[in-house]
Amino acid sequence: MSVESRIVRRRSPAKRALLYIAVIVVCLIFIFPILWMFATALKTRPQAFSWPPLFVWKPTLRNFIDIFLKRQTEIEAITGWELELRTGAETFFYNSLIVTSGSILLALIIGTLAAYSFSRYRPTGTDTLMFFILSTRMLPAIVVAIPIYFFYKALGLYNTHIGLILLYTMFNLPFAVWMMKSFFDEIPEEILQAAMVDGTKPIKIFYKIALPQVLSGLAATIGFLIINVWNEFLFALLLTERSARTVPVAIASTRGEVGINWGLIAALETLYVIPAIVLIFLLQKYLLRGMTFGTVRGV
Amino acid sequence: MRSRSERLFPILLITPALAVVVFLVIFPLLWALGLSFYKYNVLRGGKPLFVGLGNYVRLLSSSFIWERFVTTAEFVVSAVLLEFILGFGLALLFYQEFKGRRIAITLTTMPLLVAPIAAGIFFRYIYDATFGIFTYLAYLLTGAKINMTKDYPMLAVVLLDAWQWTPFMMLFILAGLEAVPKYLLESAEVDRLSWLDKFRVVIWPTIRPLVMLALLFRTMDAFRTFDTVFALTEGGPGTQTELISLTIYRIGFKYFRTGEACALAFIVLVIVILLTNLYLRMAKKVTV
Amino acid sequence: MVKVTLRNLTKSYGKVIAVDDLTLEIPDKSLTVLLGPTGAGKTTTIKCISGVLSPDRGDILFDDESVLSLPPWERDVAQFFQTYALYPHMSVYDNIAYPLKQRGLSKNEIDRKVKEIARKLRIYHLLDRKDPTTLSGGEMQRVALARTLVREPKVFLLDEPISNLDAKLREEMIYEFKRLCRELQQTMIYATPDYLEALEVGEKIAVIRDGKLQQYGTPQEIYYHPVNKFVATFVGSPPINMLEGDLKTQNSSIVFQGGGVTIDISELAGKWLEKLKGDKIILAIRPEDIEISKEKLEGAFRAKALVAQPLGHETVVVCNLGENEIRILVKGFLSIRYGEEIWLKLNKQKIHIIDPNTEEVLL
Repeated sequence: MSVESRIVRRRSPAKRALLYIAVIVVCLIFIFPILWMFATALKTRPQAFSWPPLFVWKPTLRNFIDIFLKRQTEIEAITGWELELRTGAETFFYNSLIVTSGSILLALIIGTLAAYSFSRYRPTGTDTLMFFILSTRMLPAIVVAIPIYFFYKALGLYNTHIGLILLYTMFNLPFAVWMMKSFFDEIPEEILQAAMVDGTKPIKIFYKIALPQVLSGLAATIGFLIINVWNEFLFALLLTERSARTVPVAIASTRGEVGINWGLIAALETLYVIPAIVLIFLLQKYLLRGMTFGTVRGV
Repeated sequence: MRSRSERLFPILLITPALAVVVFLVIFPLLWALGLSFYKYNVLRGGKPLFVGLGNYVRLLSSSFIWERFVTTAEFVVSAVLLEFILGFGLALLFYQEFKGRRIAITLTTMPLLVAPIAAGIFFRYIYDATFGIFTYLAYLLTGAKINMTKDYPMLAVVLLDAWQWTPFMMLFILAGLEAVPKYLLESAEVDRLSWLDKFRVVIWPTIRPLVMLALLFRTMDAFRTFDTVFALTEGGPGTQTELISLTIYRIGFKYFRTGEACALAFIVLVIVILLTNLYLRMAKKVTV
Repeated sequence: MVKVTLRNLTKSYGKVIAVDDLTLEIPDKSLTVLLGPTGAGKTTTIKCISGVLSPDRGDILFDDESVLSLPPWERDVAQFFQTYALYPHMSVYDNIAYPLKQRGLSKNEIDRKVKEIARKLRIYHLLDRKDPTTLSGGEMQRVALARTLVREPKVFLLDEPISNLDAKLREEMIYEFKRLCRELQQTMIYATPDYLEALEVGEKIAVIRDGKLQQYGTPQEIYYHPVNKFVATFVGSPPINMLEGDLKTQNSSIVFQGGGVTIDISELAGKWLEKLKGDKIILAIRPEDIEISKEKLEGAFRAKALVAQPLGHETVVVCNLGENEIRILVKGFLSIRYGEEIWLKLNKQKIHIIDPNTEEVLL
């Protein structure tokens, strides 16, 4: 966000006010549904069902507790989904966490190694391979979903952490390779040559010289991968059952339910989106740089 | 002239990545291709029946399937267009300098962090005819009680998609705008160029690649949309919002007509590849 | 510490041939300079010697043993990079210590050597700096030099090592290089486009142009006996005077005629006349080999003075000999008026004859 590339015009106070109003309106539009979600999470079932919708109400933290509670002492009607949630939400969160971090770690390790090789050594077929890796993003996920479903069942990977981690690693790999390659490309060749002359073996050049210089790139890549995988739904749906289920699937299992406790769902969604917000907030500055560098250079 | 182990090293580095791609992309793709030539129903069991291009013929001659493509195209075009226009406007807005700009941008890009499936589910609540906040606000403005998901399903879906993905467009375009060299803008000011000319000569050449990229990514993604529509309308009412990805899902995992689903998936794949190629070719023309 | 031999070294980048069939023998424990303009192939040659680049053809030998199959980390050479190539994520101290760490020296040894070289290069106060990219150009260059010189390799490769340093430090470093070479019996290969630097530093100079070796010899040989037009003009400031003209016989004398001036060169006649292809020749003479006088001298030519450029202890006088523009280097201070008539006497013993077709210096 460089100041240099902007022309600061002296604006009349009226125009200035208009600008601020526009900005506020825009921000509201985009943030409102999320705020509404936070608000709904603090409502009881009857409060969530009121018309007109309540803008002022007595908030409760009940829902957040209820998601994890194993007790079933409430008398109010509990649907199948709610029952499930109340006895398993922590499992879902746990699964999401394991699967996301596992696949990101794996994709980073595998992807960074490959990216380094592409960047530094350009083995024959680098360009075709790179394009091919990019094109996997074009694939409608559903195309591979069906065979993978059978594949996994046959290999016993169905409903396992490993299974989902492997799959998500495959999702993350193209991004990881493309982004890390562009960051490795930025390292001046002569620095690596100097390391060679100074007596460093290739593998050591990788982790002692090249890697430390792309740390900010690593942060950007992690940010992207998290967005990629944390919210994945389709494959999690197809390839897991209760024990390995992730949160997005749990959220979706309310489809078709009549009289759902919206407060409960909102609470679940809120809890799920907060870590993402926090992490992105922390990685903010790396992300913007990474996004434009990683993609523009590539195409 | 280099030792054996040295030439091996770079290849060694790529191997794990290649292995993953082969096992989890190429292999399933080929298997799916193979499956598409068979008539096979998991539920009914029995032996898979080889029908060659039978599935493809059936699908391509089915008016139902073509309608689904039309529906999908409707969705993709409206959504991407809307997101592009809004995104561009937002980018121009956020290009200005003002206090709290950083925060404003961060707030605006929040929708990208919400899981599409979660957004879909929650927008059910927002759109709900009986107690949805959207319905309420629309009521305040127009005095009519609208049932979004019943009366205007496509609009509902497109609006949801726009809500979530306009910030994506905005970020790309904004990045492009920020890359425009200041001195060019200044000399354009000095030369008193009209807004249109300024845009054409100075701004557009710089932002063009990012805009093209954003459009490409968004179009590809829009084509594959599944989560949001699945959650919000399940393709309904009837088939008014059934996107092609939903159709494949239904055929494959509701009716378990595996071979057919694979065939349809491949048709979609081919279309996506063709569109992308067409797009890249057109994009090159825009330079000249 | 080793003799370096380059045999038919060839390296191209796509269509561009950077090094073209270069054969050179660099003696053990010597300071040899690779002299050539930018793009001549000096850096490429150096990188082939250190192993960072693989030549397309040819061989590189250390003490008569080919090192071509050895990767850079096994060749035991130290290289100074023109772009410094400092490790941005390491402190200045760690940058300099790095090659020693790779060789497995003890902590104390490393510390001693690093501090020693830092003191010599006047960067001792910078050792703790965490980010070498915040240093000035000259400081970065010295850190890079330190990293190179801190080792005791078989060969030192220095690619324009003093380009950004101030004059005083340049002189000191040249002295230091020569000292290192002699005292520690090191073999040093030094690349520069600056011929003055080359003449000062080198025991032997290899002049390179477009990847091809032009001449290899001592500074005296290069200066007083250039083998071709390029070497003659590249070395020397102001550059050697070139007069284009014809070779004619006039009343049993051999004369040079060009640009309205006729110079009798009968006394220089020799075998070179046979080697000459065609009648056109170039007569070349260095500015310091021409005597200038305001009064008529015997055997001198009349010329029109244009400009006098004082250099302190010398003056460059630009004048027209006929239509030829000539530069003369005169000791001391001389002032002239524009258009003033002066007399030039050429030191015929110092005349070079160049064949314009082959560009060879024939005399």
